[in-house]
Amino acid sequence: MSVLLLDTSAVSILFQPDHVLHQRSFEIVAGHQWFISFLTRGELLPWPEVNRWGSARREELNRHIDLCTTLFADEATCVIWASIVAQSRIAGGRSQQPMRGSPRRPVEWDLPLVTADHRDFEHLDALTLIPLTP
Amino acid sequence: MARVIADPKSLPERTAPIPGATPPVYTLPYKDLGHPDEVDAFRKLVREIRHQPPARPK
Repeated sequence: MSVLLLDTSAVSILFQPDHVLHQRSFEIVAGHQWFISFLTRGELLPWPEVNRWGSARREELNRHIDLCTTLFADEATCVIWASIVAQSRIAGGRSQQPMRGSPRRPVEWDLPLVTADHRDFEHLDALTLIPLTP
Repeated sequence: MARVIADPKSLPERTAPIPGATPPVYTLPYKDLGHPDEVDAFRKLVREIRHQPPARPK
């Protein structure tokens, strides 16, 4: 069993069983512990509001999110954030906000990051990526 | 460059547990009945909120 950090793309794909990447994604992450960053949680929570879901579906999303442990920020997170932003700037061509998806926490805890947006993170040295691809 | 792996089973077991961690997930105890396109629309929205360009082709 491994401890995995899922980004927003991974959690949303795992929520919808008919998504083209769902089955393959679940095969990858099943049997492991799931973690998310507080930013991923913050990105997921407005999803029902934006789409005006009913209460039953909102509750399903909450149950889905609750399968994950949420990692919150502290001073060490801020220091790692700064280092990663600098690394991304040096790499060039990357977003100035490359870490919104989550990577500072996987680096801090040495967690592999599961994501369908792996190209956003592949320039980061101290990171293990598990891409979700067909 | 990041290290890319295909299957987490190839990773070594973690020796130090993370306090307060939820148990491993073996099954999903619900079935969302929404349309799969909603997921891609949501992912696109998240990238817009982050001011990131659209995801590059795999």
